[in-house]
Amino acid sequence: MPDDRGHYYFNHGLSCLFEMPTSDARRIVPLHLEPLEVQHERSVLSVTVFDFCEGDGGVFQELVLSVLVPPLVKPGDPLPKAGLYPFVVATSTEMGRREGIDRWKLPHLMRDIEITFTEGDGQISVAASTGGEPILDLIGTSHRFEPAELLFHTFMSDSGGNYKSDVAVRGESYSEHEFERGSLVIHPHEMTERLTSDEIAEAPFREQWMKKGLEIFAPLEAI
Amino acid sequence: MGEGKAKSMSQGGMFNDNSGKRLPLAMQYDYTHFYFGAGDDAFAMLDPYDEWWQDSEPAGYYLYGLPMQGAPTTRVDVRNTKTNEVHTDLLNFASYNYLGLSYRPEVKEAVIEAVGRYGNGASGSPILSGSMEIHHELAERMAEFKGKEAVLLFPTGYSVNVGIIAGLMRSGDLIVADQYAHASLVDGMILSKANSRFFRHNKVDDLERKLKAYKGKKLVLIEGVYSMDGDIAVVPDIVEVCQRYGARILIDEAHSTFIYGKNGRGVAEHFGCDDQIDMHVGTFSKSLGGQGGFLAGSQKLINYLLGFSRSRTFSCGLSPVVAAGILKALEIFLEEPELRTKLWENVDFMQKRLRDAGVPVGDSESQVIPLMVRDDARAFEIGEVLMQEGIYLNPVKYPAVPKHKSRFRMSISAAHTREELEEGARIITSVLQRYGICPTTEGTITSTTG
Repeated sequence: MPDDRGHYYFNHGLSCLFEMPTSDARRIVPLHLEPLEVQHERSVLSVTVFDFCEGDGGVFQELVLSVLVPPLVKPGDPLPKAGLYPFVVATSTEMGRREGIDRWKLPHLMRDIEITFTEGDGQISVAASTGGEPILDLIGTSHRFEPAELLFHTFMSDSGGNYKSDVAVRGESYSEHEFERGSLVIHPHEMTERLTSDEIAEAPFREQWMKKGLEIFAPLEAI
Repeated sequence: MGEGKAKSMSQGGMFNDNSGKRLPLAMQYDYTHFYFGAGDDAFAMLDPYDEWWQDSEPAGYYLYGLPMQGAPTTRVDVRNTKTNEVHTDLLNFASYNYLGLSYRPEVKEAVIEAVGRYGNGASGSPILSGSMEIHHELAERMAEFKGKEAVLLFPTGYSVNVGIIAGLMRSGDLIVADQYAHASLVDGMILSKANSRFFRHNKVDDLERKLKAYKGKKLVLIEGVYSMDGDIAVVPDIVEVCQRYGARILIDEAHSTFIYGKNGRGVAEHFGCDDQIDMHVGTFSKSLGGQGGFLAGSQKLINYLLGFSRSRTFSCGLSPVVAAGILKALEIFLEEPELRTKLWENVDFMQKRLRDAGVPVGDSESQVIPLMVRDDARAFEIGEVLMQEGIYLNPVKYPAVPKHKSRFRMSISAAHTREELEEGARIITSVLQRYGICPTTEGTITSTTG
């Protein structure tokens, strides 16, 4: 029986959450979604990078900027860890980009980007750029690595409607903490122009890092 | 929880504790997962929440709000709602009764006398029929004590901040609060509809960045002692920045009035900045062991907020019975400075005992001492063990504090005897050693969950 889910294996998946102004978040998310707030007027920017090594999109790196939104909790359904609205995605290959656009209706930067992952002692540094033009520099740190399986609701919109995909991420080595040890530097760039960088926290309030994992996209549901 | 439900919940969160054992399902989720629900029914979240709650309450959430069988003295009897057993003679480090005044015989007598004169409640809004002579007397005494022109009384501490912030600030103004500001300050910001910003805890350069960018009316919100960490505001630096940018300052001294400063007025007095702060907020529920709160400031400020503090206007006045108890407690406080001396001796003793034993207590420098267990999955379990071994303490977990920063918030009182502190420190250290939270030469519990 054919599996219509998307499978993406990765060496590193790093996701860091930063406080951002709710006024920016509201401008970014479509009207049917509501930004989550960690405090009054403070919403959440998720900066996620993947180093994919095998799967439906081939080998590529990916940078995803999202705003956290409430998941759609329904009686009897699995409880998701969080809901995300990815408002811009960038990949290092055309194949990776086509996979994200054609299959998952995700909004993309239409140029290849370069992402470097440098793993050090308890931390991973990521630099994203396009043709030498920097986009952002992200540092995530580890706490305890342990097996985990996480479920997210990812929301997409296009001219045809609004959609949701249940995205499962699982791996044997997952670390999550809120020690505020990481950092983010946002550079002026087409990809970050919707963000008021002065108002985004420099340190993530949550750092999530998975090694040797698998991301599985469930088929889109119209919502 | 039925098998089907367990299956439905088991796919979302982390599966294992530190030692690799499977976590109880209840520990994989928390309140934040149940804030929004799908569908058009306003009750849509009740079923998923209830499914979680049925599993979570016995797993540890029952530890909150356990019924105490008597006054919040240093030793209390507490009913365990899970087993219905009454745990007797627990050492109480959970109550705010910092000076032990809530149950002093003189306070109880004053309360009984007030019942005879006034009956129970105020039976009206303080701006209508709910003001009695005793309220005026309390406000005047508090103004004298705080060294301010006037004081406005509120029925709860929460309603003070909500009422004055929303009463003063308007849409288009700017409010900047410390990121650890109490919920009452945040709710005041929300109600005011002003632009709201937060600066990183005690980071004055970040506060300056937020103020610099704004032209117009500005208000900065800080606390004297931060209630989850027990550290204090860097008041002089904050005052300096606020003056430079023309921002008014509100300091909430809920946990520091009657404790800090030469006269006990609070952290602002402690730093010699009392006159540079525009609004001084405090509560009667902590050190004075009563209920309600107050704003101290200029007469003009109080006059204005008398008309615009909706949380006060539309609440019943503070009970005259409680007001009588507070007045007596204030009198005792002023007559017995040794109470504060004793409190600080107790704080110094307990801080030293815990630090010497390697118990992580963060940056606390006050009577509020966080015992940083950090281990979210086992905070409840440790709470149960502490209770079984004779300690009453409340766990504080995400989302009240960040993940992996779970703690027990310990309150020291002047009423604690040295023997009680010794015993408390010994038990706490012993339990935390067993869980590997502070150093030991003996065995450590690596797994009891699952």
